[in-house]
Amino acid sequence: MDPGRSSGDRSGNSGEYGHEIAESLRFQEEIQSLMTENESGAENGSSFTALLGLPPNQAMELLHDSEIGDSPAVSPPGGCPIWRLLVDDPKGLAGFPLGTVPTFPSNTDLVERAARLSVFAAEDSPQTSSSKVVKTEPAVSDSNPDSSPAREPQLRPPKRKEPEKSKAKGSAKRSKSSLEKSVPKPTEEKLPYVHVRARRGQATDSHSLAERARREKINARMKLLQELVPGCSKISGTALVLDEIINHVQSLQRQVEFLSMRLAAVNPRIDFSGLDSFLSAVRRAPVASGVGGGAGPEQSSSPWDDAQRQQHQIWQVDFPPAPPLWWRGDAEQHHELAEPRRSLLRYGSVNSVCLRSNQLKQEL
Amino acid sequence: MQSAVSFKVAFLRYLQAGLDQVAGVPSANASVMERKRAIKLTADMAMALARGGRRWSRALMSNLCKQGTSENLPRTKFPLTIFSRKKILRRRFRQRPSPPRTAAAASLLARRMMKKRTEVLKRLVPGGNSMDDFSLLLDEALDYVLSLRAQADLLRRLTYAIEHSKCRWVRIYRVKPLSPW
Repeated sequence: MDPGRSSGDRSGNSGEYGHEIAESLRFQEEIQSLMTENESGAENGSSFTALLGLPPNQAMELLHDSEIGDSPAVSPPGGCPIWRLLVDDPKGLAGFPLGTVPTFPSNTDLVERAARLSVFAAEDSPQTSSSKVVKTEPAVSDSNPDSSPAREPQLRPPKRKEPEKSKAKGSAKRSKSSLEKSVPKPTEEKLPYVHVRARRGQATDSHSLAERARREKINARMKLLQELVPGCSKISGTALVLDEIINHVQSLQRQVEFLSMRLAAVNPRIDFSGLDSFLSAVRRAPVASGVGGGAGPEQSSSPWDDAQRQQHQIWQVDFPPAPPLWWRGDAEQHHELAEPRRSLLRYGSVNSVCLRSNQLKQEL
Repeated sequence: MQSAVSFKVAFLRYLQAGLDQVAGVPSANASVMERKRAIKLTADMAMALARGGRRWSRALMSNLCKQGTSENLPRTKFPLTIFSRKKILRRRFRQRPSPPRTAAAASLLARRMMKKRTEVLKRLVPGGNSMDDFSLLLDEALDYVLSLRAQADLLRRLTYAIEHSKCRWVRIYRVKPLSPW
C-alpha cells in the first residue's frame, strides 16, 4: 500500500499514522463492499425513477413507506463498526427523522422526466390537449457556459413558431390531446426548442406560449420540491411553499452546524495547519463529476488539468495561482507533514474519481 | 438509490480524507468553536466534492476555498453571528400591512412576496446569485436540499457512532484512529 509506505517514511508518529492510513483504506474498501451488497439488496424503489413513474400521491405513499423509526444507530456495547452504522441498509434509514429517503436526480434527465411526467399527471382530463417536450436544459446548462440564455429557445424567432401556431390552432379545435403523438417525440432526439401546444381555448401567440412553458416548468419543479420537503404537500400557493422550503434549508444548515459542534466536542484533536493544506490540495484535485472517464491512477496530472480547465469554463471562478503559492510559503514549517498528506489525498481523490467514474458508467 | 448510495460513499471518503488531514496532527487547540468550524468546513467541502457536477457544489467549493485561505489563521468570527443571521423567515413578515383590498394591490403584494423569497433562497443556496432563471434556482435548491439532508444524516450517524463507541476518550497528544477499530 503506497500511502502506508509513504507515510511510514515520515518522521514522528509515523507508525500510528501508517495504521490510520491502512485503516482508512480498509474502511473505504469495506464501505464500498457494503455499498455493493446493499445495492443489490435494495428493493426500496425509492429512486427518483420510481418516483417519476407514479402520480404524486402514490409517490408520497412510497416515500412514507420507507420511513423508519427515529432511533439512530446505538451501537452494541462491543462497538459496532462504524460502517454498519453509517451506511446502513436501506431499511435502516433511521437517521432520517424527516421520513424521506435521500434520492438524487442522478442525471438531469431524471429531473426533466419528472417535469414531463408531472405535467402529464396533472392532465387527468382528456380535455386538455397540451403536451410538452422539455428540452434537456439542465444538461445543457451544466455543460455549457451560455446556459443563461436558457430561455432563449422558447423565444425563438417567430418563423419557427409559425408552423407551431397553425398546428396549435388546429389542435385547439380538437379536444383530444396529442399526448400519444408527442410522447415518442422526446425520445427521438434532443430538441433545442420547447414545443408547446396550445390548450383548448387559450391564446396562441408566441409570448404567452413561452410564458406558459416557463410557468409549467416552474410548477413542475415546485411540485417536486413540495414532495421533498415534508409538510408541503397540503400547502397551496407558491409563496408559502417557498417559505417552507427556505425554512427547511435553514434548519438543515443549522443541523449541520450543531452536528459539527458535537463532532468537535468529541474529538479534541483538530488542527488548522492541516486544514489549509487540505483545502488547497482539494482545490487542485479533480472534482468527481464524471470527468474521470477511465482516468487511471498512473497519470496523475493530465486528467486533473483537463478537469480544472473544464471547471474554469463552466464556472468562471478564477482559481488564482496566488493561494497555492501562499500555502507553499506558509506551510514550510509543516512541510514534511503536509507533503505525504497531500499525496494521500491525491491517492484518495484519484481513487474516488475512478470509483465515481465507474459508478457513473454503471448508472449511465 | 444507487446515486444516493454513491453520494454517501463519496462523501464519507472525502470526509475521511479531510478529517485525517485536518485532525492528524495533535495540537493544543482549546477552542471548541475553532474545531467546529474546521469540521464544518471539511464536511461542507466533502459534500460539495461528493456531488461534483452541480452549480451549487462548484460555488460552494470556491466559497470554502476563499473562506479557508483568507480567514483561517486569524481567529474566526464568533459563530453565534451565523446563528443569529439566519432568522426564521416568517418572523420578518409579522408586520405585514393589512390584506389588500384591490386586485392590483393583491397581485403587487404577491409579486413582492415572491421576489423576497427568491432573494432569500438565492442567498441560502450557494451560487444562487448568478441564477437568474427561477426554474434553475429551484433545480439547484432541490439538489442542495437532498445533499444537505444526506450530509446531516451522515454526520449524525458519525457522531452517534463515535459517542457510543469505546474510543470516545482520545488523548490529545496521541493520534487515535477515527473509527473504533
